[in-house]
Amino acid sequence: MLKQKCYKNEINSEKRGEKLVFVLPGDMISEKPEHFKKGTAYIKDGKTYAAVVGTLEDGRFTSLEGVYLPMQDDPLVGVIIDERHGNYTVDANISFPVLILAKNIGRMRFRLGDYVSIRVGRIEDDGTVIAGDVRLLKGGKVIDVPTSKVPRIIGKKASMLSLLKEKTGVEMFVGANGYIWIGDRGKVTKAIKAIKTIVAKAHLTGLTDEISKMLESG
Amino acid sequence: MENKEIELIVNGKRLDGRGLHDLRPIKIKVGVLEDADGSASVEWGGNKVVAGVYGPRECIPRHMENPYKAIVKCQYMMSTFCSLEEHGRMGPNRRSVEISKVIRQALENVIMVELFPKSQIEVYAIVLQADGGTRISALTAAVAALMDAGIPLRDTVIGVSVGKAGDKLIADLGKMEDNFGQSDVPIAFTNRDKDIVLLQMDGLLTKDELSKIIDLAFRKGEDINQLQRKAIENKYGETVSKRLRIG
Repeated sequence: MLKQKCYKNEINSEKRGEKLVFVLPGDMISEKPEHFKKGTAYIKDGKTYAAVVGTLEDGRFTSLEGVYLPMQDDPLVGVIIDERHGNYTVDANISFPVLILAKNIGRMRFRLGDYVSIRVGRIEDDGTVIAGDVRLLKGGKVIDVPTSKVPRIIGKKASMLSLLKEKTGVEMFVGANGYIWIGDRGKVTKAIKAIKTIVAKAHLTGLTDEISKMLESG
Repeated sequence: MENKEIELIVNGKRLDGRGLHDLRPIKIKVGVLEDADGSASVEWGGNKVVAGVYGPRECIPRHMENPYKAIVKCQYMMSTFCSLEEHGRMGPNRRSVEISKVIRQALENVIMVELFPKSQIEVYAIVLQADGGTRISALTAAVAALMDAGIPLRDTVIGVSVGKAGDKLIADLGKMEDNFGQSDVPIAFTNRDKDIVLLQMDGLLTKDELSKIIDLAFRKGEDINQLQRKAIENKYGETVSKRLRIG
């Protein structure tokens, strides 16, 4: 009985090993036209091909690398880098200009170098992003992580993010662009160390437990 | 030039002991630079090349920006100490400007530039040691660095130099074969569709020889594609194999 069980497990592991494959740009990931996140895959002649490095498991494509492309309503963290008569320019890890229009923010004023949280309000034809829902993030610091790791830092139903906040007592705002604002309160160094670990091991399973242990141990 | 009498192929073997269609040992490593968005190093026989990719970012100078697509800037450079000959100051010269241009044109065919209007993507490749076929080594490093940076590509690019020496068609020319052989054809093509994105020719070949040599390059490309795949896998190797063990 025991032998049979072992045998079964072996087959399962073999099958799983076959299922996970590495994908390079240009490799076919589906024979049907399927929609993935913009900039990670493309459709040609009714088939879907990868555009970035990723893994394919059970027909599910996960990108391992990527460049951030703004989408409507994405929350972003940015730094004010320029001030003009009618607008502020924000550095938000996007190659297109990101503007905060003075008419949208009422009496709010910023200084150069201020951290802000914004929401992608409107994307113009030429790529310019008009920010909506602007808020000032007082003090703190901004760290930069790869965009493809952001979902892992937030976790399923924000489990990882709430764990980080709870165990270290920091204020944190994660932008979809890969910028993370961390406030001055709490164990900031510890939080940054945890985020770096998440980025390095983003493809492992059981990461939440590992981070939880790490934060508890010291 | 007495050197022209040099016998490049003896008893079916080349100067370095390789067969006619053998490649030199190739090593590709991804993610070698800390501050670049993407980077790679390639050791191809005696060639050593490091490539770094930055962007997509704001296009500077502004008058070069294109409202419909990103522009690709490419710089190929040979270091002063890269070979036996005197190379002088490291900077753009007639040769490096040409090679930068052909690498840029090869990459523009595969990068999805239309996703990033008004932006620029910069590719820098520096040759630390040269031993024939540096433009292909630089292109291979640049493509690996682009994949590392996560810049969307339609396809990977595979490069290989083929040619003719001692009246025989050969693959992956070394420095001596490059300088004293009959013909030298660097060729780069996309992996899936086999679209040729770079083709230059030194010396003379007949029409028939050229088509044969292109077929040879396609065959050799398979090996290089496997190496590219391995290089990317090595970056994530540990994590992925761990995940497999869970099952």
